[in-house]
Amino acid sequence: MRMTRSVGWFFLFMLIAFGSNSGRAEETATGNASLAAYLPSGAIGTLETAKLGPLIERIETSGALQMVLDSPQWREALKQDQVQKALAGKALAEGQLGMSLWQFAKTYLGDRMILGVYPPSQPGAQPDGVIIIRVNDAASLTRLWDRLTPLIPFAGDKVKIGDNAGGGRLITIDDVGQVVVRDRWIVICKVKSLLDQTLQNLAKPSTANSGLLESRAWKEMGTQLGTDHHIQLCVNMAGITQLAGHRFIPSKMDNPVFSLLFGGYLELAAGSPYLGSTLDIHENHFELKSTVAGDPKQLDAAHRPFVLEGEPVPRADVPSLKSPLNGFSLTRDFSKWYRNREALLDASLLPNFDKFETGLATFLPGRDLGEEVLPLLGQRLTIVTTPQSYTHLKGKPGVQLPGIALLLDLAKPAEANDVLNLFFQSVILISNFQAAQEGRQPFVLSSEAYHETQIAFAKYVKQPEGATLPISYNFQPASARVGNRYVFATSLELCRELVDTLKAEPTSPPASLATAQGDAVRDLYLELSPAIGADLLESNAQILTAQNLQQGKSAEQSAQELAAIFKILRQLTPVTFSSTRHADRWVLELRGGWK
Amino acid sequence: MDLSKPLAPYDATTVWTHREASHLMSRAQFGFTPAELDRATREGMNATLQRLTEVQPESTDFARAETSLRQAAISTGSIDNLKIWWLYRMRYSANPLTEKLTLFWHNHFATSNAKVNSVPYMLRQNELIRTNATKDFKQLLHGMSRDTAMLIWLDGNANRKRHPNENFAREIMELFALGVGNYTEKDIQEAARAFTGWHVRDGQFWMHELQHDDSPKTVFGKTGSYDGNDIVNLCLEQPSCPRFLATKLSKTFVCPDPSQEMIEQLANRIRHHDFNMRPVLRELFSSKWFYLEENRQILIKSPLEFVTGTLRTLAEPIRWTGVIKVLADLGQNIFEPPSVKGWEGGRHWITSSSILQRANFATELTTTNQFGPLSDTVRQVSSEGSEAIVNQLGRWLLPDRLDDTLRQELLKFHVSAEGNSDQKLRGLLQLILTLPEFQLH
Repeated sequence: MRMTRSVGWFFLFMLIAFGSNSGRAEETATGNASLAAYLPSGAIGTLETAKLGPLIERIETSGALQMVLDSPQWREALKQDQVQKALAGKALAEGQLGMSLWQFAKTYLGDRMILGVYPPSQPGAQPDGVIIIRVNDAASLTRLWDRLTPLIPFAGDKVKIGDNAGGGRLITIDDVGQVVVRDRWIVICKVKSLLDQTLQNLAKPSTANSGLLESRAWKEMGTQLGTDHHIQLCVNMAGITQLAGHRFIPSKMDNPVFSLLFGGYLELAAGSPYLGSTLDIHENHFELKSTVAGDPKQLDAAHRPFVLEGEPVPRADVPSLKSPLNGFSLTRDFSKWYRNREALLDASLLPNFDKFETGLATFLPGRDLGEEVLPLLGQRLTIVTTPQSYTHLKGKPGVQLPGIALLLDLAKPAEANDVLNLFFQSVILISNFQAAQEGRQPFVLSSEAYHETQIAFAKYVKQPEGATLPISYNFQPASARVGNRYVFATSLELCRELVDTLKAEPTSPPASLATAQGDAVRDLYLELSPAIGADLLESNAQILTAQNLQQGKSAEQSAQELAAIFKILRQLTPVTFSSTRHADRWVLELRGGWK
Repeated sequence: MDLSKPLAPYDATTVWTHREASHLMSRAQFGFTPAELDRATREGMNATLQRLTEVQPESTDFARAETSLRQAAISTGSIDNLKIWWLYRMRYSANPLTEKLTLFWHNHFATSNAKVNSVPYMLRQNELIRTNATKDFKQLLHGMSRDTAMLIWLDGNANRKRHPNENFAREIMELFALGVGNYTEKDIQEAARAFTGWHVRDGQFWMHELQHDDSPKTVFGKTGSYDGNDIVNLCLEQPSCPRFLATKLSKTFVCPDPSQEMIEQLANRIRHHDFNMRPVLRELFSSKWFYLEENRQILIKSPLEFVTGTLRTLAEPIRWTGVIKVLADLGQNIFEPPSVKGWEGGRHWITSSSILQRANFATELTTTNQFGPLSDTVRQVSSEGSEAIVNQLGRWLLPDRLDDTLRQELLKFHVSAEGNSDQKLRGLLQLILTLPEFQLH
């Protein structure tokens, strides 16, 4: 077989990364300690992996992977040229390596690996980096070296192999850098000074702590997050700021929703010694966390709306529904955030708020949002969605949407109730104008006493009937006040369920409240249920099939693809995302799982 | 001229080649696939016409896909989804002549969603047309006069006893049944009174008795307490009615300037078959007149014929979302005709801008997958030699125009084209699709 130049370079890379293991075997570093101890000081960031071997093994043998490989989407992807080329490359590589890429990854990436990023040695150049890889055993590197050595001539004279002065092999590649391989270690580096320092640390592990781990960022991260994670990222915020010459995270956001969600977290991150992210994958779930250090209560006045104070502080939480599709809850001082918007947001966004207020005046005539409406509201906003049963229709809409409800905490319940009722009535009125234009039935406002709570809702004069009703019949707006919470729902059914749920919540001590003195306060929470989402999607299979047909797929092909998607979604457990502030840090966490 | 005789039949036993077969299929449906052309050539005119004019059962796959697309249109209320539903029918239905006739009547009874603003009403009108497209025009005209979309389009609810609205009465005479010059203003005014109270309520036709004027009216010289049905019948009785339909059918399916003699002859056949269109169309498509050399390659392809016809021959599967946009850009936005007169057609299809857009379509079809990939049948041709490729593409795309001069030009182009065999094939296709000859059928 004629070996092409590109294939030669591919194997050269393999060689560089996992080359010979001749040399001393004095290093005995084992266990779960971070390899950051061997990196030179001065890094602006590290990325470390640990214990990937068992994880790769689990993925390789998992039913989930098999499900994906059996899916019609994968079979379709196999027809694409790029995928075919990638698979051909994989087969070629596996032939030369003498093992599958799965086995290769388990053997050579399965223990620990760390990448350290350093400021460029010369102004304007790319940052420098050091990679340290510790493989499972020295013998495996010998085997790999034996397989790849015959390929070195394909690299021409750009690669030189010799003995490293401190032991092991030194491979020098023109314009790329140097690689030192000894015992179980591979060190890759472009800058000689960083390489020497790393090799020194490897040779004398007892003195390694005088390196990177001495810096505040890694010390604090180690204390707060530990070092035993599958993947761990650390960004030295002070180092990055120093390198950039200015504040790395902008003080004003260019997206109001992003500001509302993460404005406080990012402000704390700007002054934090580190930003650390960890990924841990367990038997049937994973956790992805991102942490910044500092006391959120010490944020400046403009960012106080992100850190609620007083007793008690509301906790981001969603009511327990029978069949929740998703839920979202956010606690903020919304009124203060709105008033502080000039300090929190980019100036280019501010004219949009004027337009927003002008538009809102249609629904709330004569009321100023910032001064008269938001102060009436409390400090928590919650959104929930759930599938509908459409008992108010004789039939179902062709496109079935979930019922959506917005729950607002009220600071002044009686006053807020009037304003929000006005808003609700205006929405109905305006939607009736649209109904007339579109030739659908208008709403008639009605109300009912439901379990001693008054619910205002819109109904149709004549019960809509049909096997495939238009999408607009997904909506039957309803509103109600339960204590100090106001509910807007797109369906009466959901509104009633929320009334029951909210009334069942204990009021003293409030389950959904956390004290400001407590260690952890959850200020943002989102949950999604893939299985219920699959049910909802399946009820819309006809529409999804039509979309596939419009793209040129056959009905049969579409049915198979949809079945595969539903099957995969039903294997997943609910996904949650939360933001929790502690006395000394702020943590974002994404969790998900599978059956 | 003996009007009692049918149109002189074409003797297909003497000459029936792929040229005649392609002529019939390009007029009676939206283009053809290579396999359809082969089959029609092999089976002959009578069998092909039989298949085109008799109702064929739809396949299970078609029925399943058609139902999904229809329900998506209703559920979402998206007129674009409804357009795709119809385009899918035009391409894949086992009854392509019905779809061609449905478009013919859609243009005849031009109603636009721009005013009706309702997918279910537009769908219902389209299905009314389809049901009667190759059947009884009388039923179709009666159905249209009570159709919800039509009543909204022509302001039926404004037609009241004390304030008659002449919109529908005027259009039924001018555009739907008789044509200009075959009625008086007084006829329109009197007929408008007969349609008073023909309203829409809850999405259905509603006879609003209180708003109906049941006093006597005089229309076409006859007097009576006519209602809308009577006016429709009076129109159908007029000698100008079959002549009006014959003119439209001739211009759409045969030639742009039919002679009075042929119009009279066709009108006579319409009258003879009591407005049942199926036998009329069968006689028309099997007539000597239809197959005259002078009537071939003389009609300018409408955007629908150009785009869906080209896709039918060359692409599989088809990505429909891009197709509706290109049709709108080319000036034939189905379900949204420009006015109550429909699309003017003919030479109006060709403008400096539309020629450029047709060329852009050809480029995108042959160089990207925006409208779907080239079919396997077409791509396999690239493995042949240049001469075979030119002959094969010529047979599919220029069956009546591939003379020796053009053949040599195409051959020269393919031989000198750069790239691999697939690229050369695509380049040749692009050239053919932009030829003036390809804009005709």
